[in-house]
Amino acid sequence: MMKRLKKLRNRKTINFSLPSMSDISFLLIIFFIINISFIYKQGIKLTVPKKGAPPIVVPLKEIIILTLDKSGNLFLEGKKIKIEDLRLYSAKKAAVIKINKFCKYRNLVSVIEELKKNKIDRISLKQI
Amino acid sequence: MRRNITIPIVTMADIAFLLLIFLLLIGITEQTKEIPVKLPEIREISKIGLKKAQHIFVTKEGNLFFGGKKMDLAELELELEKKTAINKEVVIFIHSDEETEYQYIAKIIELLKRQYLKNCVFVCQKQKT
Repeated sequence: MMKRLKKLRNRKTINFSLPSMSDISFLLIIFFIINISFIYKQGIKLTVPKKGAPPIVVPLKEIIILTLDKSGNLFLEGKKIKIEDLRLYSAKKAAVIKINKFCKYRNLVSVIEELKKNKIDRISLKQI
Repeated sequence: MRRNITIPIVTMADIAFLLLIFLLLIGITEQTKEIPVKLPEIREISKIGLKKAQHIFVTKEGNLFFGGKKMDLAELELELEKKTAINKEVVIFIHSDEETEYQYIAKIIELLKRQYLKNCVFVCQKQKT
């Protein structure tokens, strides 16, 4: 009996702080919620027209017709232009880009970026 | 008469840990199997949320990858059909190498049109100044 009492007295008690553990868990939850909401990708958003959708009619004078050749050179009505020159056509409502099938993707992205910067959001892509 | 309000810390800690496990699992399942491609650089980047995103990777040789697996156009079309059967509002993120020829991109865009998928994103990276 005495030995048992002695054992109980010598037994070490471990104090477990539950409030601080729940504090830490809530902080971790807030951290993960914020992180998940910040997951995103960067790029250019496009809306592809539906198959069989009626064509959108735009007057010819409001369309800019561009050509991208194999080397990525940009042409407007047969004349070579720089991508920065597209800002002169910001009054246009739509653009048609005729792209050589061997043209690099980065050239197309640069042209689309410049057109969107100049508020030309209607872009038609045609492979040549 | 003074009322004693007791907050059940034990149950609160239980709920907190369950929420934490839930959020961790969401984080793990949201991972996309990425294929290394050199994305084209643009000056102004718009940030697009990954809600309902499906990712297509295109290498400079024109190889298509979807869900970490290499596939051809027909297989990609079948996979996209399965995804759109579950969720019609899918957004397609096209991760293409900057050296990829336009002909491969054109085929993907035609595929998206056939699948009635109207939302697509050309994934780019910010131009290093």
